[in-house]
Amino acid sequence: MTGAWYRVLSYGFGYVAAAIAAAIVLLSARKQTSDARLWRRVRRGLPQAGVLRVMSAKGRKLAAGLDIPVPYEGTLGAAMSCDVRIPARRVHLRSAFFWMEGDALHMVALHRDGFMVDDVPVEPGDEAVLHDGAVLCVGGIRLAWRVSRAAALRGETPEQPYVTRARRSRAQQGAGEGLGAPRKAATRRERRRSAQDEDEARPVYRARAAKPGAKKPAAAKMEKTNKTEKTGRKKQPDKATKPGGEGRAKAETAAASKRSGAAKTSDKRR
Amino acid sequence: MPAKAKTYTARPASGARGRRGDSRAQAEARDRRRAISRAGGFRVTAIALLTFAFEAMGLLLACVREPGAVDAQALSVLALIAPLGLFTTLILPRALPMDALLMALTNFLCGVSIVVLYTVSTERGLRQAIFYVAGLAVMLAMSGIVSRVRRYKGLTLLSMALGIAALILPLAFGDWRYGAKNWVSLPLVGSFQPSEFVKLSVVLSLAYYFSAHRTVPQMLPAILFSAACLALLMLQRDLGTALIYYLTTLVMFYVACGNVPLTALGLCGGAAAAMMGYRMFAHVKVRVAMWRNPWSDPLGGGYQIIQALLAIGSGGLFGVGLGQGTPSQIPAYDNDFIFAVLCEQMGLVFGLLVLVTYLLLIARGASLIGRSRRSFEMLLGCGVLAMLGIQTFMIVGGVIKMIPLTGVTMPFMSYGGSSLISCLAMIGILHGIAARGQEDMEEAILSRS
Amino acid sequence: MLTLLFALFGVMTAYCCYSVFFYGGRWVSNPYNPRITSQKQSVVMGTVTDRDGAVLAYTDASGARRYSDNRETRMAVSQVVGDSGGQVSTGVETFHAPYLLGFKSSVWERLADAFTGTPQRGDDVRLTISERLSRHITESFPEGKRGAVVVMNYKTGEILAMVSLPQFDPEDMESALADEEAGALVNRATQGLYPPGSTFKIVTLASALENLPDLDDFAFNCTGYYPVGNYSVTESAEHGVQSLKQAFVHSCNTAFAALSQDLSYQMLGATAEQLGFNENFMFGDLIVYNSSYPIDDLSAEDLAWSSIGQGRVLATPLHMALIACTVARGGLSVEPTLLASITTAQGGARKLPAREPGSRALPAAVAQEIEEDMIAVVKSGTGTRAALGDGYVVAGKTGSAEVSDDEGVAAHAWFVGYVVNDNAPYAVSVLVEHGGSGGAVAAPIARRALQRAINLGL
Repeated sequence: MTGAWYRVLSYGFGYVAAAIAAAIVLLSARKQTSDARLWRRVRRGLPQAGVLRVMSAKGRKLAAGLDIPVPYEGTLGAAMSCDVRIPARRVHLRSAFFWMEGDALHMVALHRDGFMVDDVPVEPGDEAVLHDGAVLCVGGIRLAWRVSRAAALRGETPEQPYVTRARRSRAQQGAGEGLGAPRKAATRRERRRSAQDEDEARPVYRARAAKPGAKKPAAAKMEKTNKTEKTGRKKQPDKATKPGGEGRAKAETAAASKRSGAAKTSDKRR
Repeated sequence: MPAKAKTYTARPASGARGRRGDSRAQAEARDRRRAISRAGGFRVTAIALLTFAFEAMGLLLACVREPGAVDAQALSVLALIAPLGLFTTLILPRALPMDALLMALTNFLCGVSIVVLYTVSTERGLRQAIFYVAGLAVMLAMSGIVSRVRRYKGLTLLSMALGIAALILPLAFGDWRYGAKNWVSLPLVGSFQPSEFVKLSVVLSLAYYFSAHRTVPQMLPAILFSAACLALLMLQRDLGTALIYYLTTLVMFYVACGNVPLTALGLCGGAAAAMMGYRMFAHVKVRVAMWRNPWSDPLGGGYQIIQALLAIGSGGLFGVGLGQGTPSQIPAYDNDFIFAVLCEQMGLVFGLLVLVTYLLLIARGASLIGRSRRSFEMLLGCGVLAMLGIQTFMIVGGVIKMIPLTGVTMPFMSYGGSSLISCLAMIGILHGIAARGQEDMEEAILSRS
Repeated sequence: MLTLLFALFGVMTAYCCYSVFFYGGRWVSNPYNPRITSQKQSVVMGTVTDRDGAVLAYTDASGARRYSDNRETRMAVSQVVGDSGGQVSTGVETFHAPYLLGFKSSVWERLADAFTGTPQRGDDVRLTISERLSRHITESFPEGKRGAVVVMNYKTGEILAMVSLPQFDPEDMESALADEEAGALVNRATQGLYPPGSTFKIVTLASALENLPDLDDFAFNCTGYYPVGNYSVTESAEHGVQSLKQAFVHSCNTAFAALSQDLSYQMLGATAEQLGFNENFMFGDLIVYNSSYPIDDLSAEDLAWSSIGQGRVLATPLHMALIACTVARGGLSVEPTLLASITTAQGGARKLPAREPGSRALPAAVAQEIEEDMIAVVKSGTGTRAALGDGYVVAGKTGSAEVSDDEGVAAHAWFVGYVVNDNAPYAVSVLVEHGGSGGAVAAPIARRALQRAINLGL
C-alpha cells in the first residue's frame, strides 16, 4: 500500500465514518421512539382496576368529569412515563405509586404535594387505602376513585406487586425475609397475612418509605404507631386474603420459563 | 399516540390492527412479547453491524499504514473488540440483565475511541482495548448487582467508607500530574485515578439516602459524604471532578425533592465557591485567562487550547484522514483533548455526530429509568446520567473554548483504565435498572392475564 | 432536567459550528499550527504568481521553497508573499497555506493523484498584485524612510500593490531575522496603525455633510489657533475666512476643530464606524488590523483633536485606501481582495473565498461632494504635487500627522486619493513615517504610483 493510496483511503474514511455515525444516530433515535411508544401501548393495554374521575377543573389539560383509567399497579404523577398521568403544575413528576389489593387501592405518597385522601393529609412514605368512592386530592386536584366491576369481582385474588419472585418464594416458604423488612420479621404484607391466618388483630403502623425498594430498617417505622388516626381511611389489613397458592406458582413457572428465553410461553396464560 | 388526547379513557392502541391484520388481542399479545423481551430487534442489529464495520475499516487502515509492512497488532485488536461488540449487543441481552440499545451505543463509542487511539499511538490503542474488555466484565458485574440486590444499606455504607479511603489514598501517597494530585500507582495495575471510582459510591449513597423521602436532616449522611468527597478533591486540586460531583448532587437533590428554592440556594453556593476558588487558586486564574484569550500566551498557558483549536480547524468538515495530521502535537491528546483529535482525523461532522450519540445514550438511559417503579432506581440512574452528561458537556465545552478547561476526561473516549472502567460500570448500573424495569413489566403482564 | 442538558448540548454544538465556520480558516493559517510544517513534507507546495503570471514563489525540484529570481522583485513583494518559515504570519505563504498545501483538495483530486502516482501538489495561487508596480513604488520611495503604499482598483477591490518598507529578502532570512528591530517582517500596510492626521478630515467632512444643515453658509475665520477647552488647536498658517470647501482644500485644522464642536462625538463616531473604524475586519483574503476611533465620551478638546486625525485615532494605510475607494464608488464600501484565481494541481479552477458585497457607507450625495472637494485639493490645495497630466483628474487629501511634541521628530506624511476615471480606477494610500509634510513628501510618491499603474494598464 503506497503512501498516496493510504492518504486517499484515509481521507475517504472521514466521509464513511460520518455516514456510519449518521446512520447509527438515526437508527437509535427511531428505535428509542418506537420503544417508548411500545411501552406506552403495553401499559395502556393492561387491564384497568378502575377509574379516577376528575372532580375539579384545573388548568387546560384536565377538565372536570374526565375519567382516567388506573391499572392494577403503577405510578401516579405528572411525568409522561407514569401510568396515571395528572399533568398539573403542582403535582410532582412521580407523586405516588399504587397497587390493588382486593378491591382497595393502596397508594404510597412520594412527595409533599398536598396529597390527601378524603381530606386527610398523607405524608410522603405513608400508605393510604382508597375504597370505592374515596376522594383523592393531589396538587390541588380532586379525583374520585371508582373500582371497576371486574376488579371488584376479582377482589378475592389480590396480587402482590413489587414483590419479586425470590421474595415471594421465600415468603411462601415462610422465611419471611424481605427488603426493608426488619431482620427477624416478615414484610408488612406477609405479617398481615400470617396474622390473618392466626386471626389476630394487629395495629396498623405507619410505614416510612413503605416501598419494597426501601432500604431502611423497620425500627424507624415503629415509632409512629400512635398516629393512626391521621389517615382516616387506613384500614385493618384483614381484607388481604391469601392468594391462591397455585396462582402464584403458575405465575412463577411461567415467568421462569419465560426467563430462559421462550418468548411464547406467556401466550399460554392468555 | 393519545398522550395529549382530550379524554383519558383507555382506547385500544391505534396500531392495533397489526401488519398481518391480526385482531386487537393478537396485536396486544405481540406488543407485550416485544416489551418483555430484551433482544434488540433489527435496528439494534444494524447499529451493531455498523459499529463492526467502522472498527474493521479503521483498524484495517491502521494495519496497512506503513507502506510495505502489515501491523499484525491492529488485526489482533480488531479480532478482540469487534466480535466482543457484536456478542455483547446481540446475544448477551437475551440472557443477562441488559438493554440492547444502550449496549449498542456504548459499543460504538468505545469502538470509536479504540480506533482513534490506535491510529494515534498503537500502544495506547492496545491498552484501551484491554481496558475495554475489563470494563465490559465490570459492567456485567454491576448490572448483575443492581438487578439482584434488594437491600442496599450495607452496600451503601461500605461504599461510603471505601470512597473516603480511596480519596485519601492519593493525598497520602499519590503522584502529581497535570497540576492535580489524584493519581495513585499500584504495583500490578499501573496508575489509576480513585476519584473515578468514588463517583459510583457517591451516586449510590445519594440515591439511597434521597430515595428515602425523609426530611432533609435525614438525607444528611449522603450530603455530608458528598461534601467530604468535595473537600478531599479540592485538597487534591482536582477541581473539575469536584465540580461534577457538586452538580450531580444538586441534580439528584432536585429530582428527589423537587424543592426549587433549596436547589437554587445550592447553585448560588456553588457559584460562590467557584468565585472563591478563582481567588484562591492561581491555576484557576490562569485557566480562566487562557479561556478568554489564549493567544495572549500562545506558547505557555494557552498552548493546550490553541493546539486543540488548530486541530479542530484543520480537520475541516470531514477530517484530514485517519492517521494523517499531527494529533500528537496536542498536549494530552489521549486524555482531555481526544475530542480535538477526533475532529481533526475524521472531521467536524463526525465529531458532532459523536456528541449526538452521547445525547442519545443519555436519552435512552433516561427513558429506561423512567420505567422503574422504585425511587431508588430512578435516582441511581438519574445520578449516573447526570455524571455522564455533565462530564461530557464540561470536557467538550472546554475543548472548543466555550467554557474554561477543567481537566476532566471524556467518558468512553479518553484513554485511561479508570475512566473507561468506571464509565462502563455506570452503564452497567443502567443496564441493571433497565432489567428491573423489565422484570416489573413482566410481572405486571403475567399477573394481570 | 433532561431538557436542560439537551439545551446545553445544543448551545455547545451551535457554538462549535460557529467558531469553526468563522475562525476555522484563521486557525489553520495560524503560524503556531505545526500541521503546515509537517504537511510540507508530504505535499509539494503550489506556486504563487502575480497578476501577470510572474512567479513570486515556487517549490523547486528538490523540494525547497524558492522565490523570484529578481532580487528587487523579491524584496518589493516580500511582506505580501511572506516567507516559508511562517515569520511573516500574514504573508500569502502562511495565510493561504490551506490552498498552497492541498488542504482544500477533494477526495477525487487525491484519488487522481494516487492513480497517476504523482506526489500530491497543492494549488497554485495567482495574486492580484503587480510586481512591476511594486518595484516601481519601492524605487520611488525616499531612501532610508519607512512606510507603506497601497494601490487598489476601486471598482473591483483588487489590491494592485501593497508595499511596505523596510523590506527583506526571503532568500536570505538569516539577515532578516538578525535585524528584527528594523521591522522588515511587518507588513505596515495592513498591520501598521498610525494616526491618520489630516486625511481623517475626509471622515469629519462626511460626518458634517451628513448631519449638519446649512453648510453652504459655513464661514470660519482662521486665526492660527482655536481655543477648545483648556487648550487650543493650532494651525501653521493663518487662512482667514474660509468656507468649508476652502478649509478642506487648505487643510485648516482650526476650521475643522470648530466644525467638530457642532458635531457631537456620537455623530462623528457613527460616521467613523460606518467607514470601518472599530470594525473587526475579517476579510477572506488577508488580515488587516482594526483601526480605532475612540467612542467614549470625549472631552471637547479630545473631540477636536480626533476630528483632525490626531489623538487616539489610529488607522492602517490599507484602511485609508479603502476609505478612498468608498468615496470613489459613490459611498459604497468594497472588500479588498488579494487572490485573483486559484488553480488546482490538475488544472481546474478552485472557488475563491467568499467576498462580501459592498454596503452603503455614505449617501451618494455626500460622496459626490467629498469628491469635488478632494479634486480641489489636488488642483489648488495642499496636494498639487499629486496631480497627473494627460487629462487624468486626481482626487485626494494630504495629511501630516504629528506624532510627538518634540520639534525634532517629523510628522508622518500621508496621502490618500484616487483617479477619477472609469478606465483607470486606481486608489492610492501613501504613508511615509516621519516624512514631514504630506503634500511635499507623500503626494509625489502617489503621483508616480498612479502614473505607473496607468502606464502598465492594470
